[in-house]
Amino acid sequence: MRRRLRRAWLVVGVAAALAGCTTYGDRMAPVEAAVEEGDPRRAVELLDADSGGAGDRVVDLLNRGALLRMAGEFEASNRTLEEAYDAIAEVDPLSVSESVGSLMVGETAFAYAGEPHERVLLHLLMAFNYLELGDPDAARVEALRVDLRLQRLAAEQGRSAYRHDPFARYLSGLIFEHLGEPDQALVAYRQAYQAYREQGGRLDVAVPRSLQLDLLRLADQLGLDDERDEWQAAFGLESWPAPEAHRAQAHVVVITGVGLGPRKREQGFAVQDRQGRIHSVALPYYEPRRRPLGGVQLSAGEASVPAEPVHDVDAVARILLEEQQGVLAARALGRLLVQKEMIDQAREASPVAGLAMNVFTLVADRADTRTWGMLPAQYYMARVALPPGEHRLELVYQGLGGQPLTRVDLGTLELEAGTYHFVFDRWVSARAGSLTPREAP
Amino acid sequence: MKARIRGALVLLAVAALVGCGHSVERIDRDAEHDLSGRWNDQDSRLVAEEMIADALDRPWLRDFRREEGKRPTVIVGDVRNLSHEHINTRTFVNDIQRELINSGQVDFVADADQRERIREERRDQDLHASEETRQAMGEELGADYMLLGSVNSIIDQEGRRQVRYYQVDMELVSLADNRKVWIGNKEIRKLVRSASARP
Repeated sequence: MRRRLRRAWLVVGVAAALAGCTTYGDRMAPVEAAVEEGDPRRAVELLDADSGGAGDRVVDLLNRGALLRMAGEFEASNRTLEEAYDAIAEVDPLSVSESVGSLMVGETAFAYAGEPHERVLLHLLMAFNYLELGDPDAARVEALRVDLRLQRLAAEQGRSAYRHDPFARYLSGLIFEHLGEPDQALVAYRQAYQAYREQGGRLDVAVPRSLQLDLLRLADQLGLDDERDEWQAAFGLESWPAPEAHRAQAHVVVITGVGLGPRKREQGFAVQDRQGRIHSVALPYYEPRRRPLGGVQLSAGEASVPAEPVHDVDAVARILLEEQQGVLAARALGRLLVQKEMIDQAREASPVAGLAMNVFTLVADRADTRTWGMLPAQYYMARVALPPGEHRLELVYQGLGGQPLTRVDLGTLELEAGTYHFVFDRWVSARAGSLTPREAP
Repeated sequence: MKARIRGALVLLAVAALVGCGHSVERIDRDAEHDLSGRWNDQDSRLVAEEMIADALDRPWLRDFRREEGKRPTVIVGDVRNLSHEHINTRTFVNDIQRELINSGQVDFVADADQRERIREERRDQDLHASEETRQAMGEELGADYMLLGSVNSIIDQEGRRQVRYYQVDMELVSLADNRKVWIGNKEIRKLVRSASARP
């Protein structure tokens, strides 16, 4: 009878405690809802009103920076992302107290330090912001910081499918070209090509056609005839822009982020052993989101070009989590042993203390569902070369059947020969449309 | 086991307390404080002092004074940041301007933005100031030389160690004929070791 009563108390205690315990995903749900309604400013307010503790500082700053960017507050976004960069450096070294804490309460004891791809995207978002602010030199700084980050990534993630970041390299090359540094750009384009080739199968992103044309054109421009012939054989392309023709035209680069990054959720199970202890294991997983987008088309007067997928953030996040699952499961099992000892020690003191400790271990041990969810699921890029003069640009988001979902007037650009113009957009859903604030035409 | 758990809890409490406490103290401008290994105020000041000392010690200055019989007038142009970090080149430019002006060997004119604001003030004086106190348009001092420069960096990293190498290049260009009359550079190397563990 006493044993049954104790078990009943345990069940009630666990249920009560779990009901009041929220994960990071729960906390972010209203923020995400505000974004999906097309109101990133409201999302920032909601995030600020319910920010997490010190351990969540990095993920909160990353999400805040992305939201401010969506709201068109580029300087504030960069200040926040720079804070995130410094905060990551602070929590990067392994913490003794967090390691000890993780043995009792799980992965959430660790301060969030950003996933490998998030640490790269931090710099890309900052580069986008600087380009929007008309400060390409500062965007160049981000390209160099990305290079440092990617060097460390290759060393730390040597066996991972994500040990290079092709889009980061490609964007760096474009920034160098924008600043008139074709030799630096060629190096970055080569690295981008290698990375796309290496990861293409796993991450479902092909070498963009525009990158192939850039490699051929720059090899031509820099007099690297053998290299140009190799690229031509590899790509099977018969023609590409001549360097003189390239200089005579203006170049528009449209980059758009679509959708929202995947939601991290918790999956777990609980078992009761013969001594009446209840053990649970909770692991994170990414909840799939529907992808309603079939493609993106850029129009500039007569010219119309399809945007190419250049970065699948969603796929990278999933693969990185898959790669971590073995380590997370092993750590969860190790935690079970420690928790068993803690429950037994408490039981020795009194059965009630044992019960309380069991409830504590069940409640505290939650999967780490923190993630930079305000990133887009994918990035698309469209490139178009136009004669100098005024051009009106339009971006069309298409559904899976090719039907237009959203038309975005990107405004009229006054273009000069030989210059690069970066235009950015952010699309979350057909309902919300483009979130990027623009002046009325 | 009981003792071990107690030990772990004590360790946790100590670790949590280690980070506590916030304090502020005024420090001497010249005291060396390099917290992160990044470019800092001291790097900016030292580079400016050394480069300007070098620039003023070179023949172009003596040659100009001999030929023109006056002090040269200098303006600071672009100092580009081509390094791996966001450096506030404005503070560096200010350090250079201060060193040049305080040397007393050159005259210095306001940069393009400042000139616009001063001209606006003169236009205002034309309308509102008395004739005796009004400053006339078209009497500005034209610069003889423009100082241009860049900050570059190379970073070599392995694990948690980084060697950060900064190179600041400056050059003085004659506005009359584009001649470069002085080129200087200053290098700084820093070895940065990041902690591998924290409390």
